[in-house]
Amino acid sequence: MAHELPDQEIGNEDLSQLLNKFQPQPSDRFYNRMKNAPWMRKPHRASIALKRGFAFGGLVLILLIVLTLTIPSLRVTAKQFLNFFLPESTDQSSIPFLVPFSGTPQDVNTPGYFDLSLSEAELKVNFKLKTISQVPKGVSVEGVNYDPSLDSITIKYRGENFLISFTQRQTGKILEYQSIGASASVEKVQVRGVEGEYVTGGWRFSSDYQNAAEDATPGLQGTVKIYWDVNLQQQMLRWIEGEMQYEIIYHGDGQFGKNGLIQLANSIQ
Amino acid sequence: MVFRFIYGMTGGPAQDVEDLTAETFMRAWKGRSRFIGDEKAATGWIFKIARNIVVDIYRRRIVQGTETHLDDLDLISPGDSPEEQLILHEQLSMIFGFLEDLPVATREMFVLRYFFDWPIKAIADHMEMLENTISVTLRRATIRIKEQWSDKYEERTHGT
Repeated sequence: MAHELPDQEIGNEDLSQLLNKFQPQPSDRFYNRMKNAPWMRKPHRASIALKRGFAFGGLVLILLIVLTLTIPSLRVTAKQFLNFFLPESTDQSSIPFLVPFSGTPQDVNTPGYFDLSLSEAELKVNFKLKTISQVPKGVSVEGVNYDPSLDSITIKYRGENFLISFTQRQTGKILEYQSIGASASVEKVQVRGVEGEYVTGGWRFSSDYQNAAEDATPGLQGTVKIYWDVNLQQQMLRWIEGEMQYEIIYHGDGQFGKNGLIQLANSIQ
Repeated sequence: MVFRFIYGMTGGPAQDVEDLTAETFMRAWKGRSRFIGDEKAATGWIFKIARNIVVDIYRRRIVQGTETHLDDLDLISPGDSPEEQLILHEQLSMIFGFLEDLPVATREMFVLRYFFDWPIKAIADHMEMLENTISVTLRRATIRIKEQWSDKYEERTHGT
């Protein structure tokens, strides 16, 4: 029936035959337009080169990270290009603390117990323990703390109106930075023939510290706000020697200063 | 295939169908990352994109009151004689005229069934409807077209 004028009746098969005859084709205009479609464009050479460059750069970066993490000497070298202090975005922060069943809340970031002797502490670590050999008159070792999380040893020295803590650890195990406030200034100094960093000031607990401690449940960990005080009588010196990281913190009336700390560092044996 | 599908769904004119086909391919290209499936699934996916574009056009046409028209003779069977093509064009124009009155979903079922010979099950899967719904809807649509076809025959025979 397809090539006759419409019959009185049309069946389903007639309908299929008729519509199968309908095979429209797009014009040249359409095909010309499609020539410019995005999927017809060849990738730009510069774009390919750029992608290859990114891929190569990415591979090199991954390789460097892997090498830095696996080879201790490379890690030490890499560490020397990094800052030892890590500034916060503001001068405010918060830290966790443990609420004891009695007494004052204990800051978990600060070694709380200096109950080891030097010889006991040396047994805890795989490096040779060093001490400050030329301490001022009247200064003595109060105690030693071992921090298993960082595998570090901190020796606490006490003077008449001040405290000195000397921390040493191997850089190879965990990368460790000292957090400082946004407004703290880091001064590059020469210590024992290497470049170190010197910072003054320190974190103070905010006024709600006691309230937070009272509100917290004994035995559990809470957080308390702290703020950076540039006028706090505290000086910090950090440096890396070989595979060891050292830190001296002076807390007291300020008689030592930068040169005093460097002199202490230079006397380490 | 996409061009023919859109032609079936809209009834032309050819230039508009070309624009809609280009738009369909462009949307498919932009959304290619969202597509998962084989070549067969790709056809259904592109048909769905085309259907959505056609639905937009239908909405605009309702507002604008534009009618659809079958385009020039060169759209159909190039092997036929001019006389055969003339008759074929007239018959197809009648069919497209009838299709204009069908809802979009029914029209889509009709196009897939009679333009592309898709089985009922494939249409049901594609449109996410029951096979029975597709069968009943298509049967009603073809009965309606057959009735309109007979009416048209009567008009021509009796010159009314």
